[in-house]
This record gives sequence, structure tokens and C-alpha cells, in this order.
Amino acid sequence: MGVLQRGVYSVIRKPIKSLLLLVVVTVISSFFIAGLASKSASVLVQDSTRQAAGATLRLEGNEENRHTRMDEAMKIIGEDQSGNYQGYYQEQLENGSWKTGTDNSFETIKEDDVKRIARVDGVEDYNLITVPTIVNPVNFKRIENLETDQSNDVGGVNLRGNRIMDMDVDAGKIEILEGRMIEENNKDVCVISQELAQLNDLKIGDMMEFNDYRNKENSTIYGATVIGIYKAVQELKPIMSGDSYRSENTIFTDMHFPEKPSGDEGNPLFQYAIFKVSDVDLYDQIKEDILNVDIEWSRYDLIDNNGNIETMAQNFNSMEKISDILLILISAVSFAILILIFIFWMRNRIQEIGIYMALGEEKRNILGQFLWEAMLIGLIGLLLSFVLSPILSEVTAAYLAQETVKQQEEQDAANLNQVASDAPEIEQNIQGVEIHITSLMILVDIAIVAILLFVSVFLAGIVIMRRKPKEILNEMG
Amino acid sequence: MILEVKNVVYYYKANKTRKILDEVSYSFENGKMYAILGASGSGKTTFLSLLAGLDTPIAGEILYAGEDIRKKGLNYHRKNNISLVFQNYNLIDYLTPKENVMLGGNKTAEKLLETVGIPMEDWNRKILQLSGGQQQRVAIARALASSARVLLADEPTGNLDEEISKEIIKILLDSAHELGKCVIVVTHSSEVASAADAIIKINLGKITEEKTHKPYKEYAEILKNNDTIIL
Repeated sequence: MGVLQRGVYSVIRKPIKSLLLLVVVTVISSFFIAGLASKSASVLVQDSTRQAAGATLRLEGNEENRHTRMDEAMKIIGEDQSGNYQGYYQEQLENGSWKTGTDNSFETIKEDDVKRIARVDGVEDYNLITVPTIVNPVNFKRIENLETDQSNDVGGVNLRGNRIMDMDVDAGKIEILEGRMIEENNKDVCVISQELAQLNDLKIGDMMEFNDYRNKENSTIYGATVIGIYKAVQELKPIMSGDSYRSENTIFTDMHFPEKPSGDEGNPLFQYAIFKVSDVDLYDQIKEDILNVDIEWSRYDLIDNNGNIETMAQNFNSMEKISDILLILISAVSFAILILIFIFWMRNRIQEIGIYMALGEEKRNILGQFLWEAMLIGLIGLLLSFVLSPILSEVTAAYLAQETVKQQEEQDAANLNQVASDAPEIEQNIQGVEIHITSLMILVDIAIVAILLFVSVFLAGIVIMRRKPKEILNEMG
Repeated sequence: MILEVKNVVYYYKANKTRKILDEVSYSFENGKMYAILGASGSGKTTFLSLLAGLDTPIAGEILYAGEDIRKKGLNYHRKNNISLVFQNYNLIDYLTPKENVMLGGNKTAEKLLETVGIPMEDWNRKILQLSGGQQQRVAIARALASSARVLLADEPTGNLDEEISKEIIKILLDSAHELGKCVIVVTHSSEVASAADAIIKINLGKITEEKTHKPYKEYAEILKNNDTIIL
């Protein structure tokens, strides 16, 4: 009777022993697949603070990708080296310390990418919005509240460039009292608050002048003609404390004006792009088509009108790390459990081992039978895990995604009193997690489980197989 | 001579001064049944283990057909030269009686089970459902399935009642006298000893041989009549 046949009989006829290993292998394999799947899960995130308005889609930079690009640039420039790579720079100051930073080209949404998306069928129009840009008011005074803490304020006003002002994310919060909003191809124009207009006695057609707040005396002064006066029907939430960002000091301009007085002419810094969908019924299809545009999507998040962001788990950097830790943890715990199970197996089957030895069976054949049994049970366990793992993977990925958001919230809470900010709190809700179990993941899982079984059987076997047959038989006696 | 022990010395490493076997030499022949007797702890089972290749002597050699058993390896010796029967049967519990016998070698399992008196309806039952006597018969059938010329048995009737013991002794005797095997039995049983062709006594590391006075045929007749044997 051969080793293989004996192995099959042992598995079938001693089901309790087989069942324990079966359960363990199924659980191990399911968690492995879950860990692997979580690493590349698509996470549908809803960000209540980042909703696009109506039948629009909003494009903005992906924060994780920003950090990745910074890390890459740092590596390329080299440690202790001064240099600039794709808008990231580092330089050593005279006192020996290092200054690092990014310019607008690094941070901006690329206008070319936005134009390519705008060419998608069903995109009726688009807007590009600059980051709020603080500049120095040259020929007018800003609104100030004496009770506001100005210690971190630079004494400026903030410019908000728009391609089409009507499509600004805050356009619904303001009402034009006089004049009009900014339109496509307008140049050097602005729309100001009624408070600012009243304070400075400004009228439509007046010229407002601005320059770089970092060099108020010598920087170039740029002028923008007032074409509209607005009233805020809802407060425009400031992004930082101080009067520079207050609602009344927010000046809407054409999209290329803010870069001029801030000293970056020709190098704009766009924060968002808004795409208007022509037919609401085709919203999902247009969204799909936009996502198929060949641009570097890892740089961006595309947010739909529910605030949903489809992003890969890679962007959840900590989620990927947790998945890695999970996989390492599963490997270690699985290995320990399997070793214990097989030691338990061997000890329980010491008599059987002794009998086979007494019958002249080679030790490698006896070990081979155990390995064969483990592989047989492992195979069934793997098959079972392929049924269970999609559910477990979704649960795991969803849990990890929630944990990631929770960690971020905890971090934000910890920073609350340390970072001066009036910026709206970001509240991200996981709407769903889509996992894809690929054949590669299954192959990796099979390989890992097989290796774990092989090594565990081998190591557990060494303990027993090193003993002389007589010692084992004495123990049996 | 099929099996020969030459100047074998054995002691436990923990107690080197107490020799279990002290330069023991002996020759075993085919077609005979040997009984090894001795007090508990005298080294009977150790002696059998050395003959079986389950352990190796500190000094001296064990020859099978004139060749040191270590030459071809102890595994080879256990697989091809000897077959073993234990006091506690040592059957594989997840195999049927028939499959257990098949572990022993290539001979027809059914015929052997029939020879040792296992009814056909028990051949494919669970091994633990058989009585102790039946299990020992299966163990003997497994030993007989091997083409090995030496059958070693350690207290084969130790766990069995008198009636069953006699039947087991008969099978062992038949193995020696009918099948021409060299049967070596470690035993405390005077019944087994009296049936043997030679009795080897182990005492203080030395062995002595005694011939039994009951010829085989007479003993077989006694067994047949279920009479008690008195040495």
C-alpha cells in the first residue's frame, strides 16, 4: 500500500483531525486573499465637504499622489543636494539649514489635462478655479475686524480666479448686485464684495491695484477692473484665520489674474476644475468616459455630485500599510498555528510513526505521507476559502478603509489646537469598497499556503523523525 | 544460521556501568522458534530491538545471512529481513484488517487473514472494532505477509487470555516449522517458552540457552486438545 493511498485513507477516516486543519487552512487562506485584495481595493469615498454642485464633476489634486511625487523628487535630487525637480525644490541656506518647497507647477491642476477632459462628449462647459491667493491691496483698504486675531495674517486680500465665475463652487452663495460675473476670456477684471466697494467707494469700471505682499514696496503692481459687485447670501467660509481670507475680502478675478500680483505670472495655481454635464440622464456615462481620458489619473480625484470619489486603495496609504501588516501578521500567526497543529498531529500519531518505522518505512516516506495529507486538506481548504474570501475581503477592506479614515480624523483632532486654521473640516465617509480578486492573488495565496504547510510539516516532523525507532516504540509501550 | 549476534555490548548512556548485554553472542536458525526469557529489565526487549534493527549495539555486530545489518541499512533490514509482532498489536487504526496486512508485504492479504482465523466479514471492518485476539492475529498476518525470513515477537500473548494465547502460539510455531521462518519471541509466558525449540535466558547481561523437552508435534497435539502445558 502506497504512501498516497494511506494518506487519503487517513484524511477521510480520521475526519476530526482533518477538520481542525481544514478550518485553519480555510481561515488562513481567506485572510490572505482578503489582505491581498484590500491592498488594491477600490474605495468609494464620500466627502461631505467636497461635493460638486448639481450635474457637475469636480477634479482636484490627490493628496497622496502629491506626497508620492515629493518623495520621488527628493530621491532624484538626492539627499544633501540642492536642486529643483518638476516644481519641487530644496536648497541649503547660509546657516546650514535646508529649505524645501514646491512651486505652482508642482501643485496645480494641469490646464492641458482639464482641456482634454472638457473635450469628452457630454461635457458642456468647464471652469478652472485658482487657489485663494493672498496679495497686497495697493490702492484700497481691506475690511478689518479689530477683534479678529491678526497675528498670523499678512494683511492682504484673497484673489480667486475663475474661468467662468458662474461655475465657481461658491457661486450659489453670492448674489450680483451691480455689473456681472466673470466670463470666459475676460482679462484683468474682478468682482468685489459690496462691503469692500462701500469702504473704498469703488464703482464698476474702477481699477483696483495689487502687488506681492512679500515685497510690498518694490514688486510690480497689477490692476484689475471692477466689473461686478456681489453680496454674500451665505458666508464664504474662510480657509484660514485672519482677515485676509474673510468673505468680504474675497475678490473674484479672471483665472490668470491671481498669478500676476503674487509674482508667478505664467505659472498659475489651479485648485479645482468643474465640468458641467450637458444631459443629467447621461451623468454616469459621462463620468465613466471622463475616467477613460488618457491623463495621469493618480494625480487627481474626480468627485461626483454626491461627493463620491473613486480612488484606489493605494491612495489610502495607511490602508496599504495596514494591509501589509495584516499579511505579515497572518503569515506569522498562521505559521505558528500550523507548526503547533502539526506538532500536535505528530505527537498524536507517534504510534503510527513508530509502526511505520518498525515496518522499515523510510522516514522521508512517513513525512511525505503527512505532507500529502496536509496538502490534500489544504487543497480543500483553499477551495473553500475561494468561496468565502470575496465576502471576507470586502469586510476586511471596508474595515481597513474605515480605520484609515478614523485614523485621519484622530490625527486631525490631535492637530486641532496646534495648527491655526479655519478651514472646513473634511468629513470622509466610506460609501463602499469594491474588491477584485485576481488570478494572481489566488496563485500567490496557493503558493503561500503550500509553503506554510510544507515548512510547518517539515519543522514539526524534524522533532519526531530525529528520534530512534526504539525510543518511539518505548513511548508507545 | 540466518541471524547471528556477535560480541554485542549494550548499555544505556545514562548508566554505562550497568551493561544490559555484555559481549553476547548467539546464532539463530531457520525453522525454529526461540523464546527469550528474563526478569523485567533484564534486557529482553533491548535484545529484540537490536535484532530488529530498531537500535544499534554499543559494540559487536549483528549479522543477517552473514552480513552486518548496518551494511545495507537498518531500514532495509526492518523492511526486508525481519517482521515484527508487538504485545499491543500496533495496527494502524485508520486502515482495515486487510489493509493492515497489506502494509506487511506483497502476499495475498485475504489468504493470510484466513490462515490466522479472521472471518471474511471482519476483513474490511474498522480495526478497533476487532477483539484483542483478533487484532493480534491481524498483526501476525501482517508479519507473515512479509517475505522476511525472521519473525520477531515481543510478548505477543501478553494481553490475551489463555485460549487465544494458545492459538497465537500455534500460529507462531507453524510459522517456524511449516513456513521455515526463524521465530524469536520475547515472553514471560511459560506456555510460549515451553512451545519453543530453544529458550534463551538473559540475566545480568549474559545469555544462556536451554533446550525444551517438548517436541513440536507433541506440543501441537496438546494445543489441539486445549490442555495446559507444564514445562
